[in-house]
Parts: sequence; C-alpha cells; structure tokens
Amino acid sequence: MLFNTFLFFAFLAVVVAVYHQLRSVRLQNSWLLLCSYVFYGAWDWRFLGLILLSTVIDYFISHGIHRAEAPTQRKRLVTLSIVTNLTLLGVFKYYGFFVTELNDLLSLIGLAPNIPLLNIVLPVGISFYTFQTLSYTIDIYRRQNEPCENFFDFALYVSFFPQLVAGPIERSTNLLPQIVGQRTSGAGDFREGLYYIASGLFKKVVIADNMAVLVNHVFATPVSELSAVEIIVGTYAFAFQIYGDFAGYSLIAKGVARWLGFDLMWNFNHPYFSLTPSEFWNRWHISLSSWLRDYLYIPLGGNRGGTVMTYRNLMATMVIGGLWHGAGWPFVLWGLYQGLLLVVFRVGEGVDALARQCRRFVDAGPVFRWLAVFGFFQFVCYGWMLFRAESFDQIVQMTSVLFSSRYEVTDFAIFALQQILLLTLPLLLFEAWIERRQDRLALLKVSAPKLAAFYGYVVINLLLWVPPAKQVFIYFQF
Amino acid sequence: MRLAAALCLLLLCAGELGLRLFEDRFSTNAAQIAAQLDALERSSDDTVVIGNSLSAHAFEHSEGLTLVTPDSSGLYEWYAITKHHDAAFDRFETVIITYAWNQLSDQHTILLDTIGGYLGTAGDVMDLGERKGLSFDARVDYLLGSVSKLWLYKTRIRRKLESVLLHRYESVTQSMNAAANERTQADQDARKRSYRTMADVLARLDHARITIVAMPLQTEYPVDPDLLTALQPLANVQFLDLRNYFRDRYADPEQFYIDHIHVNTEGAALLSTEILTRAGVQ
Repeated sequence: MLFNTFLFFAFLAVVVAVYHQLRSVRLQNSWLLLCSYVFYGAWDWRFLGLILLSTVIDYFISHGIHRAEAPTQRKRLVTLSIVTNLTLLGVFKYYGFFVTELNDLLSLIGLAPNIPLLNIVLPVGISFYTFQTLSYTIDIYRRQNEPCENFFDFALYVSFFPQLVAGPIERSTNLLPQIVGQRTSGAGDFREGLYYIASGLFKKVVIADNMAVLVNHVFATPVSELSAVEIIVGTYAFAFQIYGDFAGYSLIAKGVARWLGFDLMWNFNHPYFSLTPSEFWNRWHISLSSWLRDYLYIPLGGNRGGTVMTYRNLMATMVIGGLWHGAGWPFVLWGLYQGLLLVVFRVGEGVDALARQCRRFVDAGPVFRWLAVFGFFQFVCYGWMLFRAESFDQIVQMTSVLFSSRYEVTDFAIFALQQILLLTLPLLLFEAWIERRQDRLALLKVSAPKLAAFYGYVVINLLLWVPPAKQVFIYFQF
Repeated sequence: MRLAAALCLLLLCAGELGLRLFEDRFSTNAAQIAAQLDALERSSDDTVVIGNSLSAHAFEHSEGLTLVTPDSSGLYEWYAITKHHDAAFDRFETVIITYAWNQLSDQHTILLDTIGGYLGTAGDVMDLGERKGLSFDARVDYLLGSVSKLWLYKTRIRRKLESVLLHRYESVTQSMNAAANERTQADQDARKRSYRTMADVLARLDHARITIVAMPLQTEYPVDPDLLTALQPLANVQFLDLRNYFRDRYADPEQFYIDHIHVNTEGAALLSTEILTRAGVQ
C-alpha cells in the first residue's frame, strides 16, 4: 500500500474517520495498532510474525533491563536485544550477500564451497523498525528512558503505520510519550498535515517519479554509449529522485501522523543547501544520521580519542551507514566515500589558511555562497553515482568517462537538463525562501491568494506531471 | 485556508469547463475517435481496419475502407469498441486487425482513461476488472477518466506542454522508449501470454473474413507461438506476418518510415497494397 496510491488514501480516510470518533486514548491506540498491522500485512502477511517477534522480545527485555540492578545482568540483557535484532536483520537482509561473497572468495582460493542461499524476501522496512527498537532498549539500558508499561502501546510504537516502512526512525523519547499520553488535536493540525502531505506528494510524484525515468535510462545504457555530460545529468536527476522520494515519504508520514494528533520528527532540512559533509548529514535523513551518531559513533569513542581515532570512527560509522542501506558493494563504497569526505573536510578545516580562504569566499555575498553550495553539490552527486550504480564495473567505467574528454552535449542531455530544471527549480526556490525565513511553516502564515497559488501549483502538477508508471519508494528496500 | 481551498476548486472547475468547451479544438485524439466511431456507424464499406496509429499511417490514403484506429489503442480499446458498436460491425465482410509487440494478448496494457472517456461506460470497469484483475487504483483511474475531462486529458496536456518546453521532446522520448523496449524484450519474450480477450473480439466478428497482421517496425519483435496456436482452429482467420516486409525486400528499409514505427506515404502505399491484396480486398 504505497503512499502515492488511491488505495492508501481510501485506507487513510477510514483510519482517520474512525479514529476521531473514538474518545479514549486506549481505544484510539487499539484502533491504530489494528490499522498498522493491516497496513503492514498488506505488503505480505508473513512479515507480521517478524515484527511481532521483534516487539515481544524488546518489550520483555526492556522490562528485564529496567528491573535488573546488577550492571552485568543489564549488559547481558541489552546485548541479547542487540544480538537478536541484528541477527534477524542479518538473516533477512545480509545473509544472501555475505554467502555469495564468501562462496566467490572460497572459489578463488581453489575450494568448492556449497553454502546454500536461502532466497528470503526482504521484509519491508525491517531496517527502520529494527533500529527503532534497538534505540528503545539501549535508551532504557542507559537509563535515559523508562520501559513502556502497556504491551499494546509498545507494539504501536514499533508498528505505527505512517513511519513504519521508511521512517523517520523515531526515538522512544519522542514518540512513546505521545502514544501513552493524551493527544489533543485542533483545526491547525489539519492545515499542517495537509501542507506536509501535499508537499510530500509533490516531491514524490512530480519530482522523484519523473526523475526516475531519466535515471533509469542513463544507468541502464551501456557506459560506452554515454557521454560525460549525460552521466552528470543522469546523476543530478538521481540526486533529486532520491531526495524527492525519501523526503516526500517522510513528509507524507509526518502529515498523516499530524492528522492523527502525533508530531513526528523532521527527517530532512534542505540538504542540498549544505556547504560541508557534516552539514549535509545534519540535514539529510536526520533520524538515521543522529541514530548513527548516538548509538555508534559516540560509543566507538567519537572524537575523544585523538585525530586518528576520530577519523577511524567516522569511517566505520559511515561504512556501516552505507551497509544499512543495502547489502552490496556500491553501498559499502558509498559509505567509504562519505566517510572519506568527512575526514578530508575535517582535515581542511584544520588548516587555518585554507579554512579562512573558504570562509571569506562564502561570506563574500549570496552569489558566492550559492556557488559554494553548487560546488559541494558536485561532491554529493558523485556519492549518489556510487549509490545508484548497478555494479562496481559501472562505477569504474562512469568515473573514467568523467575524467575523459567525452563531453559531448547530446539531445538527451539537453532534454534531461531542461526537465530537471523545469521541475526542480521551483522547488529549490521555494526551499530557499523557507530557508531564508527560518520557519518551516512559513507558508501557512502567508495570505490566502498566495496559499491558493501554492496549492494550485501543487494540484496542477500532481494532475499533469504524473509519469505513466507509479514508482515504489526507493527506501522501502532498505 | 477556506478561501485558498475555494480558489483552488475554482481553478480546477475552470480547467474542467474550459476543456469541455474547447474539447474538439484542443485534442486531435478526441475528435479523431469521435469521427472514426461516427464513420463506423454510418459506413457502407465492406472492409474495416482495426488498429492504432500503425495502421492509420499505413491506410491513410486507401479508399473504400473504414478505419477504427485510435492513437495508442490496443486490445482492450478494440474490445470496448467491438462491444459497444456490435451491430455496426455486422455489416463488414472483411475485418483487418493490425498489431505489433504483444498488443493482442491479455497482458497488454490498458489505457483506462481512453476507454473510460471515449470508448466505453463506467460499467466496463467491472468487466475489464474481471479480465485483467484491475487494481483498486486502476479502477479509480478509469472512473475519474470517465467523469472528468481534466483527468482524461492529463497525459495529452502534459505531452503538449513537454513538446513545447523540452528540447526535441518527441525524438528523445521515442529513442528512450525504444531503448527501454529493447531492454525488456528478453523478459517479455520469456513471459507466458494468454489470448482470452482477443478470442472474445474475434467471436463478435465471426461472420466476417478476418486478417490479423503483424505490422513491420524498424526494430524487431517476436510473434508469440501461443498466438498462432490460438488462431489455428479459427477457419475465418488468417495471419499475415509482415514484420520483415521492408527488411526482406529493400536494402534500405528505413526509407519507408517517418520514425521508428510509423510508415511514410511511400511505405504506406506498398504496405496497404500488400495487406489488402492478401486479405482478398483488392
């Protein structure tokens, strides 16, 4: 049940209509839990057992940790939770990848391995809810949170349908109190939710799905038939596809939750306006990057162990972050690249003269600042090329074309660039306006004609600019 | 917020009204379909050609034929036309059905908005749903297409805008589509196909001599052996394989096309003569 389908909105209409008829939080939560399981079961009912198992394990372990006084017992229990969750994730998501690689490696050294592949379907959203439940038990272990008393409330925290399959990865400190406590909803919630949903649908349907057509063409064409300009334009298209797709999903999730009286975290904050990799990661998939910071980078030592250890921790965090996205070498390479970018920029910031020069350039005026933003965007895009590539060979070939003299401007390149500008430029201008106002809800405070112009533009685009085939959200596979 | 909503609604209503008022001027497709269905009802010809723009180009200059060839149509559009104009088809002695790729199989894509808007009724959605197992979204798409002109014309408006705004829109998208078709060809070839809907169309036309033609394109495509098996028991149906018509006869087959799939005037003259002769019309 994709967010960009009529079926989902029919489902949502029933959910919201019944929900607001129920007066007690208990009944509302029961209804939402039922709907969340129906929503998840609609992908494949067999996945329900897995999410239930994860819920049961973490519910009881979290209570065990809370009750236990001895540090060793607490440690043992939290380790059990981490191992169980990561084993489930490992079996379903990474088993095939590692077995294939191991078989290949053993064959290389002359052995005849026969480790069987299980051919298991990857349960939708497993990486998201696994990380969500892990953060819950770890927070309780760290005494930063109390365990949830009611099993069904906890089950709703794990399976809350707006953010179940592609995040944001909600912390228990934010979402659980909203589930347990009394929720208030007013007329403003509907306006706010509608704004999120309309913006999210625009990003997904108008931006991402149209970019997908260009991206699929470039990445499916043999590299020998592509010019460097086509590769660059195809990669720009992918940058906006993945942004529109994921930020769009997160916004729709936030809007749907708002209609139910919940406030989900912001997952994106205009990431392509970043000037450095650390700023980018503070703006892109914020729920994952902050998760990796709090539960991986800092426990590894963060920046407390000196320069070399900081770089090691950055690299390790980003490689694991890359692997979180999928079981494949392009993701590992993407993680390595992101780690390397963070390290190189950190080294650069340490060289006073260079840092001063860069700061002077950026502060020289808005034009220079936008030039710097555009410059850093190129680094981001090279990362996206690694992420999107079909294989390691394709990465090597595309990179070599980028460093060759094959810079022909083809009809396709002009066509694709025009389409990218036509669709994304209004969005980027709008985001720049929001960025300048420093208020994400600035649009809701403008006059009625301006608001009508915004919704009119969104509706007309949603009507006219829908590609023939609906595209699945990219992050569902993670 | 209410004022903004009212203004948006007003904008949509104005769009809907504008399309209804200027429909004929705006869309060649709507006018083309209306004219073709009108001609079908009034026809005194003996021969009818069912197809899409492939055959519209091929028979453009042929006389004494009734053309039912809506752009981009396929099996389900032809099914809807034969269902809703059953009596009109009874008058024809010869029926020529032209197709390419998998346009005769049950697996062929349905253009729901076209059927909903021009060729059928809202009730058809149940009928088509039974055949294709239409999803909830496809049914909503169909129903919206049958009640709203904005919905019905959205793809055409988009194409029009893109052709104005984007550099070489038609040639670039055509080459992108051709590349995508080539990539999925292997998958499509391997897929098992069924022909129940085609059998229904042929059953409605069982009084006539029917010629089914696999049309020539610049790129190759396979003829499904299951299609030939399905046609074999039908005594009134002959199958013409003209996929390589130009390739087999001429060193430079591209000279007969205006693009990857449509023939030019010279190609049309040769191809229509061949088809009409072998169908026993000339």
